[in-house]
Amino acid sequence: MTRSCLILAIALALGGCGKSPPPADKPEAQEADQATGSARTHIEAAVAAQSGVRTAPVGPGVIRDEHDVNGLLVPIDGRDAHIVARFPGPVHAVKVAVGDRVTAGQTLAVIESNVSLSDYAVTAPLSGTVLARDVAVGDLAGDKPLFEIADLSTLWVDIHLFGADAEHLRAGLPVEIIRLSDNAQAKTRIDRVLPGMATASQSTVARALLKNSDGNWRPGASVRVRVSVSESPVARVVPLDALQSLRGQDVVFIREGENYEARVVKLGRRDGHHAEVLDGVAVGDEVVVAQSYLIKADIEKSSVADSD
Amino acid sequence: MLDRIIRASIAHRWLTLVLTLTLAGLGAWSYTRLPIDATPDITNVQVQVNTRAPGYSALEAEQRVTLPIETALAGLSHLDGTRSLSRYGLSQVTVVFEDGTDIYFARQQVAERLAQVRGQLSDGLEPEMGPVATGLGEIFVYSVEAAADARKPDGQPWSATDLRTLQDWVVRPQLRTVRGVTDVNTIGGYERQIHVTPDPAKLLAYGFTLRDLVDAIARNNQNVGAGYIERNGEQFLVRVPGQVADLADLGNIVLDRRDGVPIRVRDVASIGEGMELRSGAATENGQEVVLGTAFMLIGENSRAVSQRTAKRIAEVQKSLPVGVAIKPVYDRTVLVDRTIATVSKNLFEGALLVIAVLFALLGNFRAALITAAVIPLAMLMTVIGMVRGGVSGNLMSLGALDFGLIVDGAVIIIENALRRFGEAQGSRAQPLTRDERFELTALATSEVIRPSLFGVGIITAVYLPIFALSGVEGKMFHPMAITVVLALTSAMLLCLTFVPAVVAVALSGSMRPHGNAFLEAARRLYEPVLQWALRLRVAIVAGALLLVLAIGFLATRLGSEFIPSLDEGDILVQPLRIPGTSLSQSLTMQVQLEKRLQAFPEVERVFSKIGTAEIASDPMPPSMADTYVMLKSRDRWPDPRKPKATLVSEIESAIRVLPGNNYEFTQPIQMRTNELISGVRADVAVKVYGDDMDTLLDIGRRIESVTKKVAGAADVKLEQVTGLPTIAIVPDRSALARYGLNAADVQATVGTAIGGTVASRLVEGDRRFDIVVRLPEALRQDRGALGDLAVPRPDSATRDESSRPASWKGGAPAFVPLREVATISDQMGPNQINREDGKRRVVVTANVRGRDLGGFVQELRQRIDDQVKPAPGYWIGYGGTFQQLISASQRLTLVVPVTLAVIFGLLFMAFGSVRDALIVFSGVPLALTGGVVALLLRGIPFSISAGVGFIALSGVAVLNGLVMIAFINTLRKDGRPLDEAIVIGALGRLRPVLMTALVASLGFIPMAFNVGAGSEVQRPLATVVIGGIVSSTVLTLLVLPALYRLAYRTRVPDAPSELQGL
Repeated sequence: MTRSCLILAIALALGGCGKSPPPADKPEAQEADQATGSARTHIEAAVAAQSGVRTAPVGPGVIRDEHDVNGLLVPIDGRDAHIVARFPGPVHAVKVAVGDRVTAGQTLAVIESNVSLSDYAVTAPLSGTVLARDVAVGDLAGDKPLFEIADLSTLWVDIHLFGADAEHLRAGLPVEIIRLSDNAQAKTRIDRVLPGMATASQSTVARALLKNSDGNWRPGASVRVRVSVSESPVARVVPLDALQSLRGQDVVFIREGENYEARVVKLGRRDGHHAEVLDGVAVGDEVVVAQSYLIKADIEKSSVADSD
Repeated sequence: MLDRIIRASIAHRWLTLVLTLTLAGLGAWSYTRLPIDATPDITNVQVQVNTRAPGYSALEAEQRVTLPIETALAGLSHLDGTRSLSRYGLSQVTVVFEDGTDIYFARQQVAERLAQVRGQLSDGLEPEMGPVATGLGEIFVYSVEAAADARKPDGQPWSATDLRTLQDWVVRPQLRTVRGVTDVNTIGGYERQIHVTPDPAKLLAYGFTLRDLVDAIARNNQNVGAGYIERNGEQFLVRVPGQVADLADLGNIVLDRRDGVPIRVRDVASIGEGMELRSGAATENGQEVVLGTAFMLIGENSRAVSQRTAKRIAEVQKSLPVGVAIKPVYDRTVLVDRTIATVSKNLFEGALLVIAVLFALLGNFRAALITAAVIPLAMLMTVIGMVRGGVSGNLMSLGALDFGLIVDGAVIIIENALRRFGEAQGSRAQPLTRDERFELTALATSEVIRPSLFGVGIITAVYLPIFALSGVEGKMFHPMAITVVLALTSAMLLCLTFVPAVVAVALSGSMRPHGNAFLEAARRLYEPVLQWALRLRVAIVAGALLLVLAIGFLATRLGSEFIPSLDEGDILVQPLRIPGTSLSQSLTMQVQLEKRLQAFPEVERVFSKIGTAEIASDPMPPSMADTYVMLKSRDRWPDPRKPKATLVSEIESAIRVLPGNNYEFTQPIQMRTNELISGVRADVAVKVYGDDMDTLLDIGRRIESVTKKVAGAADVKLEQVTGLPTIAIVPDRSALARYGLNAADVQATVGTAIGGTVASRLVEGDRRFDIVVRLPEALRQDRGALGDLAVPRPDSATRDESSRPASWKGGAPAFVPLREVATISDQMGPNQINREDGKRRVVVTANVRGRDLGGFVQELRQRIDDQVKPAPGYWIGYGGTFQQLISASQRLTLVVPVTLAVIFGLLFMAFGSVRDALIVFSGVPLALTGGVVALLLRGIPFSISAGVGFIALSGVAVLNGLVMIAFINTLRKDGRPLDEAIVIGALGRLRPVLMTALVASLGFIPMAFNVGAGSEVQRPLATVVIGGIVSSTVLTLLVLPALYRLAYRTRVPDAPSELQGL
């Protein structure tokens, strides 16, 4: 008897090893939710406000498909002229300097013709600004252009297009031109997309006309171009911040009082800020638009364990 | 032989005393070297190899870092196993060595192998060994913070980056030199970086690539030494400095010169101080701060190191700018002091009570003092042994010390000596002569020394099963067992030498037996009861048997915990968030959490470490945080007696409402040790090994569902290894071919643009800050802009005959947007890849409830073998605490019977009679009944602490029984009839029995009722002893004589056994 009792005591000690610490208790409600598969959670209004959860009703909006691309300002073909002396000969006078504005027919230089040995005037074929002057008094005018004159009141914006963009962009689409130096913006539309494609860069050019309203758009400058590929008003949009993925599906969270429910949504088009909702929510539903991740985290948290 | 030792001690008494004092002095000196900590260190011998791999995802970290390191580390001497985890930006390989391996030998081996593997790793990846510290190593945490109105010299407020810079370059270097501190870890703030953020459109406009920018900066920021020249006998060193001095210099670096115009870095990029892509953050009371953690070197004295650190911090404070302060937020000294205070308070109060009891019962103050002196002497000798044996002083080792047992031997000896003196004195008028006293002392001592020694031997034997424990449990309880055995052995040695010597020296003068009122009363009460018990012996023994059976049944109803949880006084809350939660999101959630926690009146402060610190000794993903809730001292609580469990549940319900968090509650040291010991702290872990992550997960899921169906399974969980959102930018090979690009071009561009490339370093004194080239923050965050990222096109793109040059004025672009050459998609990637012993593994964990563990594991194995057939190349292993439990049970089932046999053997040796041995042996269960009842009454579960109490009880019971039966036997041998011998023997032993009982129980009263730190370990022990003493005393005084009478009822006086020699 005595021995068996001591064994009992030791067995007790062993029994102690078999038991493990009690499990961290989980809220019953959550486990039930897991079981039924619906994804909802409850957050007190005060806590939600403190945590920065905000909601907004679903409503109509506009989906803009926008692209940021690179462009280059170039003078318009036919509105710039490289002026060459008609007859070679010594230059007797140069009347303009780079940057001068000239009108069509204005005398630019006077050259003595080697043929007639008399002076003749080289005139501006169009009105514009003198971009380059490669001539000085005493030079011998030859085949080289003497002046470059361009009408800079409007410029071309050559936009480099790659791959699929060449199909997306059509004449007439609105573009926004942004100057790199001071971020000044100008709005215009695509005039045309050039037919050819450069082999090496696999690119082509979309061209837009730009009014040089302040004279600071200079040919040769790079610009940033924002192209709106499409602009379509849709019935229901949600901000991208509202979208979360839950168990592999796109969801938004709808607030009803202090309850939040995940709704699987079918998404249509989307842009940098909004997404069109085809199915899943109705206009007027209160969708979580800030800290939606928190709701997702709360719904999924029961699946989390210490992974260390 | 014992006799000779005792006589020699008396003969050379002064020498004995001097030797004892010397030993005590040695003990006192040893005490100053005794490592003191709150809990035993249960960390295994391990070396962590951390490799920071910035920008690497879990997959790349595994493939390119973890795997080569693991391979290199295979086959080390004394290797127990390796495990690893690969995560974003980090590879951690933990090499576990067999217990007892020297840590420096282990590190040396690892270092050799790491030197070999370095060549195989990509540039810039440096595997580093973790600090030489254990789970108890994080002894001191401080925050570096600025006052709200403090301003930098330039008038700006102090930013998190500034504070981090101070921590990295002012505070940390000074703290690292504190003796005993092996390293200082930093978390929080931002490491200062200089960011060069080019505008991609400008780069394109100029035709520069990100690479050009990186190269230009690298080439313009170097100092070069050019040897020396001699002139006129003098030696001139030549140096060509070229380092940039500041941000303006950096901006002036020329990228190219075109049309006579230099194009500088500042023309295409903005330059400023930026924020690193950090992997961890820290908060305190809802504010972002910078936290530093001091790691203690293995084997140091945590209290001393903490104090040194605190002292150094006060000095460092002087070197900080006005308004910036270092604030200690966690100091191990507090806990250690609290624990030691509890232990010493209990010991001191207990010792006082013991002296009082001894005085009351012996009626001789000197005798009481001598007995009590055994306590400190035995303690000091124990300390010598502890220091020699490398056992640290802590709650487990010191807390379980039972000085009732320590003084038992001395009590018995002194009591007997006094009795003898009294008897000798009683017959004549003049005091005893010196020689008579010496002779009597030697006689009295050797009379009872054998039962005492047997008693101590038996108690030591009872501790044997504890030595058989291995692993964590072993590390936890070995110190306790070693300490107790040391203390008992010391006490035994003292009983043989010091006690007789000092008795001989000090107990002079008249030794007339005092009339002791208390004892007289007890004797008057005891005698009739004893007679009554002897008459009703059958009923008494049967009643005792019934009682034991009833209590045995009740004992099965006791709750149980194996390792008592040591209350560290603070709480650690681990909020678990879903994988993929970003650091800033985690930070926001953490701030909310801290504000809630701080609102509790019991909370002193809250601080958190989120994600991974600079030294990745505790690699957490950003979704996890360690929240330290530091509590005020109890006297500042609104209700100082509120149990901690209540507070924890209040806190839990308050923070439960915060969305997105799941919580685990633990304590700082406990958490750290758990993390270090093993990845898995569940009863059963089913591990699947193999190569393909998806297949592993699939098998894991099947095992999960099988496991759930096994009866007794609880908390079945498949380890979360996926769920980390990833943006995969997959280069399109055919598109690359079209443009004449390499995949590396795409990767380099994305790497620099998003992750950033360190181009060079800005040097300010000995501070070095990375100069990083990457895209501006606004663009990095913009998903749409990612596709527009320009990948530079090689100039060498050859043109074939059919090629068509760009015919328009602008010419062909020199770049191609990223979306043309790569597909960009969102994916769910592995969040962490775990490996063990060189293979990927996923783990399914389960706890077992209401079922025996062994049976559960067997059924589980069977079912998994039948139902889960892993593909070739995949296999299943089993692990978890069940292994330890099963091996512990196996050991114990072997060791416990052996122990019992040894005890019985000792008793048999003592008596030379099976019958007597059995009678004494029977004392044990009855003694235990009182302990069980006491536990039940106080609602304390059974634990090892309580077990130690039971062991102590068994000791007391056996000791008393031994002494009494031996005395009765002696009386019978002298020719007394059985009944008379029993009565005289029992009455004669009343005093020592009562004394040992009272000493043990009163000595434990402070322990049983104290609430200080560490009391939860001592309380069960004390409770068991106090309760058990009552039953044990009753047993020895009533049941034992009755049993003895029963056992010898038929025998006509035969030669009773006597104590044999040892």
